[in-house]
Amino acid sequence: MALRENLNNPTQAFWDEAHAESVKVLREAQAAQEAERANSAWFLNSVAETRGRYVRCFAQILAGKYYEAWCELERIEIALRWLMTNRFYDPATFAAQELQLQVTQWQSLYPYKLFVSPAFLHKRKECSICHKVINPWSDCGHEVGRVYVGEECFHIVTEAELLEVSLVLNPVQKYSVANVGRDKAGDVVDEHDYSVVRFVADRLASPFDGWRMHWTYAYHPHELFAQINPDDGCPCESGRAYKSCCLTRPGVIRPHAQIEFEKDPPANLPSSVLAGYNAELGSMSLISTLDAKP
Amino acid sequence: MPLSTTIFRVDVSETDGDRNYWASQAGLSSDAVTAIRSADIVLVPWESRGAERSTFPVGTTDFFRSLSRLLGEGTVAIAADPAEYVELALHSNETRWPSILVNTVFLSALATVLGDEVEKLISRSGPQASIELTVTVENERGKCVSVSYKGPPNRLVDTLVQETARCFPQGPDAKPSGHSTALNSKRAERAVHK
Repeated sequence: MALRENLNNPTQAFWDEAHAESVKVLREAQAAQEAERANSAWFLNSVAETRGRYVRCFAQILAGKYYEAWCELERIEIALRWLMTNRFYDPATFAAQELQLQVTQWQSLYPYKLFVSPAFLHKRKECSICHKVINPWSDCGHEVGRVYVGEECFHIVTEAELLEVSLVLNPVQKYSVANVGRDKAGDVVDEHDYSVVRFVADRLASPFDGWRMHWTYAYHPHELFAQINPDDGCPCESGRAYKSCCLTRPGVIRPHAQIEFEKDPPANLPSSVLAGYNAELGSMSLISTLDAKP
Repeated sequence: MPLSTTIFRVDVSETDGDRNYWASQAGLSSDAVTAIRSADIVLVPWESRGAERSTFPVGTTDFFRSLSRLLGEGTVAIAADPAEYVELALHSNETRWPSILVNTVFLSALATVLGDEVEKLISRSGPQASIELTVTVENERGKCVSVSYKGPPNRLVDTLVQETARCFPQGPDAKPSGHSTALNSKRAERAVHK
């Protein structure tokens, strides 16, 4: 199956098949201890995995499963990091950098601000390849982050102590969003506003259609924030009171994204329909800050 | 109250945390004491984190290996016994390197190695990454000088060089300090290669 010629294939079945094929080659090469073949298969397997996950992620966004898509984006981000560190092929040939950019752009559209972050004491760690204990006095020769005969080297914490849990802005694990939970039935409970994410997804005919985003700041009309009391925190998130911050200005200073789509939006998207329209306000909410340039 | 992030902070202070201090910690084996006394660079535990055991930031093992490999002639020791050694994985996606005790002779080599590590970090995590590190320099003429840095990686080495210059002879007759000369040579070398 030729991956290079099908990098923009938007079907999940194609990538699932490519993934299964490369896993088969990888296992055969590992069994034969053919390092070069195994590493090549690992690389192609990672390409298939990341692109397959990206297709799934896009489908999840369209299905309104935004948190699940967020978790998928993190998995792609991690897999791409491995791919860029272990260049058994030229990553550019497989558009890995472009995919990294897309993942980062999607992540920046998400409304998540707070994350739960645990602090652990690692008491014992071992190498995932040879299972020798990892500490400064023992060196197994395997370097964390590298791939050996198609196998990824990482450290497995075999003994740990949870010290505390904190709220942070810049987490190690992006999936640990603070205010997304699950109810007793296991369904995701989530009140975030994903209209910006949806705005972009609705304008892409295929997950691999290109788009570029440029962030800046702009004034936003005070009418959009009429429900906020002047004594409350300013919606610009400065931490000052609204009345002593942006209320003295022509508008509220908020992030402003300009998005350029490389292809025309899907034909079935009515031009008058914009996600995020707030009927009660009679105007566009945050989505009005987006200048879509088809 | 909104959450806030420290973007850039440098603390420079005198400290009694010299080689003798670390070698005289209770419970250390004679092997560990010997290693601490003879090494050119010593990675020392985090004291302020309140742990009972010898606590180092997560990734210290990789940092130790990299430092040992790049340092060449110098020797690196860990101020702990293997049985007591633990690594702490803290909050937030920030790079925390272990606290370093170094003598003035090897400060130049350390600055060069840290420069290489910073380049690796920037290529992996981008210039917006944040790094946290404390370097204590054994001062031949007084108390040790400790520089604690938290901020962007690309300003780390310059800040360390600038703030540890006080450990070297000053005045009109003083020669340029070895570490800044070494660092500038490295930069010149890189400039030629570009």
